[in-house]
Amino acid sequence: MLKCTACGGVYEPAQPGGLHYFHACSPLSRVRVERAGAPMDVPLSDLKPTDTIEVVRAGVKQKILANAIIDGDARLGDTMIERPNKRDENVVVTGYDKTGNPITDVKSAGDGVTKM
Amino acid sequence: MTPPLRLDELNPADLAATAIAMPAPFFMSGEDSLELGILCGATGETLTCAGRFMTIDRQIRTFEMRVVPSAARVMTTVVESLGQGWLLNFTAWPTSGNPNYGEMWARVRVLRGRSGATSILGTLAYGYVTLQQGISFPGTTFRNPLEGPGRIRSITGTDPAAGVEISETVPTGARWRLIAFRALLVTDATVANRFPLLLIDDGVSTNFASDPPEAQVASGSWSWVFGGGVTRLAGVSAVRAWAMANNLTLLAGSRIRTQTVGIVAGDNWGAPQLLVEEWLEGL
Repeated sequence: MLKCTACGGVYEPAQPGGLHYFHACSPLSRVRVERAGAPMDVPLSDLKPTDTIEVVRAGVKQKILANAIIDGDARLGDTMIERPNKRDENVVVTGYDKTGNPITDVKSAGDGVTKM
Repeated sequence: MTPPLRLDELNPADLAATAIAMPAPFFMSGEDSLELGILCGATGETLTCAGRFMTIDRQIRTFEMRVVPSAARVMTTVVESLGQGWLLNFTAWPTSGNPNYGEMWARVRVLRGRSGATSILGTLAYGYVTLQQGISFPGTTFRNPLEGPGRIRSITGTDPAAGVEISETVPTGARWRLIAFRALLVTDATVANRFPLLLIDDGVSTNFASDPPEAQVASGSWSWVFGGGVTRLAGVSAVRAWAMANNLTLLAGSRIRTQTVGIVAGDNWGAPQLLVEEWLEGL
């Protein structure tokens, strides 16, 4: 079992039947907020209770503090971007050896993995 | 009366054309080689190609080639020169591992040369192989790797960290048809509605999006599923279904992922379980 350092995902590279699983990090979730009066997209993990977010409440758009969200509110402005240190274990062909067989490498190593 | 010619006085090409009738005459000059190529999606497999060859001095001998393929669905080849003579027959089959149908695809070709700048002169056989069926010359029906049924796979994807969405990528060298998908979303106590969407993209652009039949609230533990023929459904138990197109076929690099509107840092998706039909497209 391996843990990806970039996204924290845990996976088994050797699946039943000998099939190999190639992990690729998922995109990063971001929340649209106003912080100190400035609009910005922040990672989900960086969302602060004092940030202002926009929600739809009872069918009406309104801006509230992040910690004032209630049941029934739908938060607006969520986006996703590719993780800057994304790990993608799927292979790419980087050349061919003298027998004509492809030489491969992973698409991106990201921040590596830890064996669990 | 003209004395009969001895066999070894005949020009080899004349010999092949006039004196020996074969099921599939295939004369190879000393410059020709036999190439065994494999696409495979599993580890621990070995493919063997064995056959018979008649040399120019009429000796019939056997030959054997063996290759351990890459599990990354890239073409792995081995090339052997058999000498000058006639290829009588061969068969290629897995001799290590037990590949299911759709897991290992083999091809045998004739090349001019053995390494470097070789030329392809002929293709003798190709198709998926298992312990019960190999490919043979003569006699095999040619089957390209995208033809016929693929291999049914049940895949356990990556278990994301808290606050992270699911994203599963069709691996390099594969083509998938989605059959079913299931993942568990556990929401923390933060008061908010979460709206999990299911997205299919080509690695860059979204091709399909399915919105949820209802929101998942705080402190909930719901299974989110899709399957061919299943409609968007808000179940009475802890199962919710997205709508999904039937027979959705995806190329390598395409992604099946979630986007949960309103997700909070303490929410946790579990490892998705996918059921797919896979073909080897190869590199």
